[in-house]
Amino acid sequence: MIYAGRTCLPYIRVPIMYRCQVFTMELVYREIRDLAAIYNIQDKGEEVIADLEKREETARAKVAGLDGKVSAVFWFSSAAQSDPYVAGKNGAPGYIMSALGIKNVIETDDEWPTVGWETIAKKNPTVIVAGSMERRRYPMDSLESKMAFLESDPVTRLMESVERGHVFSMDAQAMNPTIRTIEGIETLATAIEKAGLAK
Amino acid sequence: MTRPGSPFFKTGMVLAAVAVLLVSVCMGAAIGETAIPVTIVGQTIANKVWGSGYPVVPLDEGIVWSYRLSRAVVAACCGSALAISGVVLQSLLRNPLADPYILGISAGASTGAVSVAILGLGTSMLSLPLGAFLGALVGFLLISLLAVKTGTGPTAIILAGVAGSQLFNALTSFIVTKAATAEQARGIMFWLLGNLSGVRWPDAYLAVPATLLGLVICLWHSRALDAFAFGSNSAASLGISVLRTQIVVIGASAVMTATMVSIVGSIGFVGLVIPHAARMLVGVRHGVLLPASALIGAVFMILADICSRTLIPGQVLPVGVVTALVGAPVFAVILAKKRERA
Repeated sequence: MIYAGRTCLPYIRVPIMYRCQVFTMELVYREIRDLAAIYNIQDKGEEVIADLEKREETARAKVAGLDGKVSAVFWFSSAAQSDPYVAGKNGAPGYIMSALGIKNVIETDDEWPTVGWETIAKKNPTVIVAGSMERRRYPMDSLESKMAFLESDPVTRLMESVERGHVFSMDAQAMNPTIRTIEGIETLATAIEKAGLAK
Repeated sequence: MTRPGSPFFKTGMVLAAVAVLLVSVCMGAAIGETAIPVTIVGQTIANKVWGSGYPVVPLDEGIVWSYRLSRAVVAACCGSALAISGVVLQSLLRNPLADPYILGISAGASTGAVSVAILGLGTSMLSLPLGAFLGALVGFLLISLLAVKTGTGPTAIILAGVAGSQLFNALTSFIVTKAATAEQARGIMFWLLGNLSGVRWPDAYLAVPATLLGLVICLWHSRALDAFAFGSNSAASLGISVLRTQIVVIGASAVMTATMVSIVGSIGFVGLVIPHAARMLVGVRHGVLLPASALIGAVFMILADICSRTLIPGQVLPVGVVTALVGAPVFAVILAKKRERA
């Protein structure tokens, strides 16, 4: 799932963990099939996959026709008051956004690059997806501190998404490439539908 | 031709220095991660300073005024403060390798920050800078005491600094290793590495007075610092109160450095190298050397910060990486040029 650096950078001998291809749920499904085969419960495996696919389909249908009209930034966390870790193109949020027809304002290939608020504010994303998590490594890990920052910072509080209340929370686990990524798709689709952005 | 030393020359130099500083700060406000036209930058500054009332998009105004300008001002203060501290420490300790962190300030700051965050000596992460500041001062005081106990020579302070820094680094590691939430510690270490990203105006309100006060105190003692060039005995024989000068000037630089570390973390290289560069350019007399170092430090730091924001489009590098990456080769060139001339 995550390739060693060697795969995409042949001249680097030391394997570094780096995702150099776009993540899709196909990778998770393959893993489910492998595990099911190991335990000889292929039927159960296919059942799980069919269920996940159906859930994704239902969520897609909720917000059908967005076609890049809505853009988003996924904010995982930030160290201190500094630049936030946001979702690039290749991680699970990339998949969530492409599944729902949402445009990611961050265009780098990296999975979780740090990008300055200046850049994010100028890109003017329609929605901000803020991660909620149990982890408390960085000051901005909690959802409360994220909301407080967005509403008090002299620049972010002027962003359209913040002014209109289009800041949605999402479990950080759903932002990682797992079966819970589907949960992320459902959460975001519901939030966008509720906010009336799907019309 | 105006000769160096004439009042005209001096006034001209001061005006030129102020102009260079202002231009650098404006560059800091004009160049950033995203392209904002210079006219909008100018209109924003005019709006905020003179209340001109140009119609500017609030978001652009916020970026230029609250993000970039405050950051440029703090960067300037940080560069100045570290450079001034470097100058006075190198002079008083008569050691070209002395830098502001030799007094155990960054080691003390990390212990202070870790104590606040992990041992819960404060209530929230907001008091982390305060913890760093207090830790830096405690570190400095302990090292000064140790230096006074071991002797009065310049070597005593350096050795005490090395020993004290080791002690505080060990304390930090001890707390980090022992505490169950080692994850938090990693966050703190990241912060201590030096970062100008989260800087806003309230930080500038702290940094500007600290730097100006430090500069004034050091300038006040510039003649005394000149006398130290031939050692503390010669200085004493010239009628200078050696201990008083040492306490006041080293104390001022310690407070300046501690303030900067608590705002932006410990940014290396500037305090060590800028004084040498300034000495090569303007000579060793502290009346000129101190303001020159302050100016060069300020401009260097602003430029380093601009580089850190623009080298990789859409991403920001830690400014400490840039100060070393850009500064080291520049310093090498200056050294080589100096040798050619000699």
